[in-house]
Amino acid sequence: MVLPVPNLSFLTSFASSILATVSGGTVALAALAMLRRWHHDRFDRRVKALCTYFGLTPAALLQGKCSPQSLANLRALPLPTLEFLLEPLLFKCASAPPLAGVLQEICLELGLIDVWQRRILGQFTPVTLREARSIPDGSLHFFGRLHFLLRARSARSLGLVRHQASWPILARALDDPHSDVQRAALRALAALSEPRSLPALVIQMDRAVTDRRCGLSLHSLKTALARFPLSQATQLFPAMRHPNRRVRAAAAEILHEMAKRALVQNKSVFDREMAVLVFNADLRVRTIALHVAELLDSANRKPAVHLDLVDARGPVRSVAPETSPQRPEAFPLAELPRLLADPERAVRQAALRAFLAHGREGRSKLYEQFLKTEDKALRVQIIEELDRAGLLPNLLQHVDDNSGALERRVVEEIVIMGATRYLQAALTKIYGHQLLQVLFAKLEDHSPQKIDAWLGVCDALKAFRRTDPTNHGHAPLAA
Amino acid sequence: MDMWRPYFDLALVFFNLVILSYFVLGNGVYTALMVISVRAVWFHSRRQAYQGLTDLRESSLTPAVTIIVPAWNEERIIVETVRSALGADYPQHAVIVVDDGSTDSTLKRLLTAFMLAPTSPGYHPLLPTSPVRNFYFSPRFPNLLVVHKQRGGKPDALNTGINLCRSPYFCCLDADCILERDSLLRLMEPILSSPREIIVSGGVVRIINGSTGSNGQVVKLGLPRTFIERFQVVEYLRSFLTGRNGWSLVGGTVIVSGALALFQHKAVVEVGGFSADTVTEDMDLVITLRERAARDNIGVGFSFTSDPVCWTECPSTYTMLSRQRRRWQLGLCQCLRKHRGMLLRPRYGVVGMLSLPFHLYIEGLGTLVEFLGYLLVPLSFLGGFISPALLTLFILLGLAYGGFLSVGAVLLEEMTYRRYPRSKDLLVLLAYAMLENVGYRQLILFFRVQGILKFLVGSHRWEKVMHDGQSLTSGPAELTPAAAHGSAGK
Repeated sequence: MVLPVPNLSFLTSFASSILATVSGGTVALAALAMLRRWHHDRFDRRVKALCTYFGLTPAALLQGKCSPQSLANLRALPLPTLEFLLEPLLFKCASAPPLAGVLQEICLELGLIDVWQRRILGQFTPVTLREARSIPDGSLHFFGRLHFLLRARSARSLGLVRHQASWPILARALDDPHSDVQRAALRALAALSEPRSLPALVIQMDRAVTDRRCGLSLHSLKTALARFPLSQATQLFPAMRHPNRRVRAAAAEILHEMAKRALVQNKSVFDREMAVLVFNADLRVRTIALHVAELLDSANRKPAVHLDLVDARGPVRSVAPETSPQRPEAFPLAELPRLLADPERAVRQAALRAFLAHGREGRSKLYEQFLKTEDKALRVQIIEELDRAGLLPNLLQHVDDNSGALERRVVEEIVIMGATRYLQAALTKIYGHQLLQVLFAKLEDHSPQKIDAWLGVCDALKAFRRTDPTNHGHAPLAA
Repeated sequence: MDMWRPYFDLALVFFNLVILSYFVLGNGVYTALMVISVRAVWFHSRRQAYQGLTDLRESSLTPAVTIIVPAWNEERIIVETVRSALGADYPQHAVIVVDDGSTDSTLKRLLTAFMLAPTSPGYHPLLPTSPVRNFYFSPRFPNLLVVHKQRGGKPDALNTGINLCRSPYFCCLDADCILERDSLLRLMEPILSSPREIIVSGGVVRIINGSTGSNGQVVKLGLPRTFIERFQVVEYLRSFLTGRNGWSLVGGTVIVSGALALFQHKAVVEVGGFSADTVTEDMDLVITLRERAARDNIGVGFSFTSDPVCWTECPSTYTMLSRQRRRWQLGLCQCLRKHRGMLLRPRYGVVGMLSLPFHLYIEGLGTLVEFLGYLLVPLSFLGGFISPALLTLFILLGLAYGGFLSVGAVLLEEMTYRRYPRSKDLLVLLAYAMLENVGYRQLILFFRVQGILKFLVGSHRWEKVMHDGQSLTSGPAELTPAAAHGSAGK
């Protein structure tokens, strides 16, 4: 039996030709790799030499060494080469704002700004294959389908050199058919932070949530909008009343971020704006505003992620305990009780922190609220906040010293409530004290499991149990 | 005996045709993946010019990420790994190291290096795991938490980390890997810039052997000295730059290296976290997430990008290499068996119709076919079914095509990231790419066949690959808390 092939010699010659092609291809690829390496190294050296020659280094530009003669020499270079030389400098603009100004002037002089603007509008100068081969990234200029990369780069460049007047073109680019251009334009607009462009971004935010075809992500839009000054926050208020919950939430987050930035840059602006926002009619605005208030004076602190990790309580995790309140004057004490009745837990929590930020007076008011309220959830929340602020030992101290009637009443209420973890903390402190009697008197309100848990921490209860081993329930204890 | 001869001959001819189809199909798909990858990587490298990493770095809207480092007997390298994770350039990140009951001094080294003290966080497991013994924390490194637990395996350790994770995304980082400073940002970039919800973002693993590391970072890049390591450098380039990139582009990603991958916390918890059903828990999880997304018709995306990098030490001895490859092959077979319900089901799209069948036929069965081919093709030659010229051509063609694909991967690296700065390194890589199919490929094939045999006998043992950690322990060692905070001041 032989291999059922139509023609052995044909197969052999066919395989030989494939082998020859593959081998040739392999060698060609290897040669191409080496050629590219050589070409790249040479090109790098040449670009460095040219940059030094034309004074296109950050240090030289900041010292104003790019003379009219250098500019004239630069003008003689083809635009793509110019762009290529300026590319590394553009990236340095973000970290060195003065450089952006110098570069903007140079780009204006050389006509690059105009070229970038025209490119974004889709006006490209045709390039022949020969020309394309002689310029860096020539393929991008030669092939029309790759023009989107140039449009995106142009948008980015306008943002990096902070060319404020280009904002209408960049705002138009938000509707570019290619999402890359949209994203680059968005970042450029964020870098410019031109107030007049903000409505266009808000419209895009709406689209990002409601229109699946939108090429921009909600997060990119939030990041971009948050770079605008807080004074422009009013333009976001319509978004906060948007019927879509995601738009409202995004607007609130942006406001949060704007305020944080404003706080870092200028506290007086912050105070003025926040005083309005803390009592805004919109629940979400109030929540965010109150959280922002917590960042006062300590916005530069790094979040202690560990606290997020170790704190088992939901609110603490979700809010991320970045700071403690430092500037209570932004929140009049008289207004705070109203916020405690807020249906949003986060608002109540922020209000509680604001109470504590008012010092002794705020604490007394809070204790009064605690004793006055019938709302169990709020009571527990207040205890949690007191615990978090480390005030429980202080309260217990008052009981030990038999001082502070208000504080003692608060502790009694905590004991009566039987909020287990706080009660356990109390039990370890109040051994032998009259509060134990308060607890005993109220034991029938609690479950045997809870009592078992207390037994684990309170020697007095243990001792009592030891004297009567049959005692598992609470009635004899109470007796 | 003569009675059976025609059947034997027929079987031999049939098998030759199977080998031919395997050769054509396998190389055809690999070539297509390479072409797709060239395009993708080229565009990606051009897009870097206007990527918004600075915006992400500076914005506190960028979601927090928790890096989970599962560790078991990694005393030689763990401190450097944690240093690299703490030093990641990201606005908000925490690091959770899960010591999975190490019997060496992994925990001790961590406690000493980071001045850790016991702590008691609220631990409310979402996923079942083996019991946790202790938690450790240091005020000097507030975003580091070390967990000491009973041995439960890598998936169990990862699930413990997931239970402690409070951020919307977490990143898995193997305990023998060094994370490049901006890798987290680069992993997060496609998630945040895409209008679609992306639940998995994978990056590239590169080989650190031969390079110099210091303070949790690679400072001087070079090629390893031994040929077994150099072949692996080429292999990793081919696998990550062409294979995974290509599959990602056609929407068929089923493998995201667990050494460096970012996952959405919620999505992973919903599918029950990492499963211990297979020894390649990363692949298993990705396929499970795919399966769920298709079943529940959830429009989520899976991303793979070729510039987030973590550096790992590859095996430098045959024993360790064999362990690693056996495990990979065993895991592949286990995953294919576990998710066999997705095979050739149009409901699962490219994954069900293309990616999984490819992995089954080429990566799974293909291993056996190739192995048997090395035995039966010479038999065919001896039996007179193949002419000597055709046999020689066939062998040469197989070797040449393998070389072509590997050289293509090296060229792709040169066209885009150009990580190895010395021209000499490039020449060495090209030479090794051409020679990879002579000897090394057959060696790896042998280990893979062992992996399949392990699968067939029902073995589920995780074979640990030990590292010497020499590439990473040179240079000054102290990481300051300021550096650990990454980009706090940026």
